Amino acid sequence: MAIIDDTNYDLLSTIGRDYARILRAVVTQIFDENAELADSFERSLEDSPARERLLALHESPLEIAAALTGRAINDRIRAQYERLLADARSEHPSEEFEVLKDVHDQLPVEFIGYLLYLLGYQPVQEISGNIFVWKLGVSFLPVESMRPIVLTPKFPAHHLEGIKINKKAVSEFLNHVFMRRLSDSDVEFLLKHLLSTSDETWRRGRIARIRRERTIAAERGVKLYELSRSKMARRDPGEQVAISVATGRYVTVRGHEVEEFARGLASEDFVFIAPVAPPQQSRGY
Amino acid sequence: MSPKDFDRIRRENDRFRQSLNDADVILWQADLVRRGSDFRDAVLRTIREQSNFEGDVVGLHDWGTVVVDNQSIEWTLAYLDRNAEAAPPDLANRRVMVIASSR
Repeated sequence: MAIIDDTNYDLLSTIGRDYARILRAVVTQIFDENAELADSFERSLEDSPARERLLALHESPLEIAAALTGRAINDRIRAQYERLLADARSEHPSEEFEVLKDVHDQLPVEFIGYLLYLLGYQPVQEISGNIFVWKLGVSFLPVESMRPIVLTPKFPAHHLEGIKINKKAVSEFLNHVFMRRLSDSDVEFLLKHLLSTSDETWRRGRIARIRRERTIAAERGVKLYELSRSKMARRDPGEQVAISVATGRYVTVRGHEVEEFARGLASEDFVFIAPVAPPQQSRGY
Repeated sequence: MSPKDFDRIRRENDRFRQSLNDADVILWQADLVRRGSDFRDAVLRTIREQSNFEGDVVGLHDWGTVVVDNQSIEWTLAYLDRNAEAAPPDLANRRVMVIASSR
C-alpha cells in the first residue's frame, strides 16, 4: 500500500503535481485569474522541506486558491469547485480520489465521515451521489491523546463495503488501514468509539469536527493579524481591525463599519476582530 | 493531563470567558457580525454569564451553545501556541474565542 509521509518523496512529488493541477484549474477556471499565481505557489512548495510541503498539501485547493487570489468563497464558487472535482475524477479516475462505491446504501454518510475523522482523514464529500475521500486528506493530528500517526492514503471500497458494526469487522478494517503503528491500547481506544453508535458518540464526533475547523480558522486569523499588526499600529492606533479569514482582506474600523465589511463576505467566512495595538498591549498577544 | 491540571485549565477557561469583552481578540462568523454591535454585545454577555455547559463533552468549559434573539450560537475556545499553531488545552497556550451560528 502506498503511504504518504514526509520520507516518501516519490509519492509526495506525484501528489504535489496532482494538487498543482487542481489548484491551477481552480485559479484559472473558477476565479478567472492568472495561472502564474498557482505556479508560483507550486514553485514555493518545491523549495520547502518535505514536511512543510506535505502540510501545505493538506489544505483544500479551493481555500489556497481563494487566499492566493484574495477572493471570497461563496456557495456559487463551492458548487463550481465540486463540479471541477467531479470532472477531474472522470478525467483521472485513479488519481485524485478514492470512490467509495455503494457504501452509503450500507453505512450512513455521517458514520463514514466520523470513521474517517477518527482515522485522521478529512470529512468525506458527497458529490452527485458518490462519496469521495480527498486523497490528500492525511492528517498528522492525533485523536485526543494518541501520538501522531501516519495513515495510508488509499481507502479502497472493499474495506468499507459490507462492514457491520461489530468488533471483528472493525478490527479487520483497522488492521488494513493502519500501518501497525498503533499500540493495542490505541486500537482499543478507537474500537471503543467505533463500536458505539449512541447519540452521544455521534454528538462528540460532530463537535470534534467543528472544533477542528474553527481552530484552523483561529490559526489563520491570528497569523494574518500578526503579519499586519505593526503596520496597523503605526497607522491606526486605537482602532479595531477586522480581517476576513477566507480572503485575508482587512480593514481598520470604527463603530458600524465592521458590519459593512462583513456584508461583503461569504456568510460562512470568519471575521477576526481585534484591537489595533502593539503586540505587548493586546490581551494574550 | 492530571485531574489537577484539568481543574486549572477549566478555571482559566472560565476566567477568560467571564472577562470577555469587545476589546478582546474574537473570531466571529460573518453572518453574526452583520447583525450589528448590539447583537454581538448580547451574545458576549450571554456567553460570559453562561453556567450550563451542555455539549461540553470533555468538561473543560471550552465549548458551549447559547440562544440570543432566537438564534442558536455555538462558541468554542481555540488553543494556539506561541507560533499560532493549534495546540492542546494548556495554561500556557493562548485562547481565541470563536463564535458561530449553530449548525
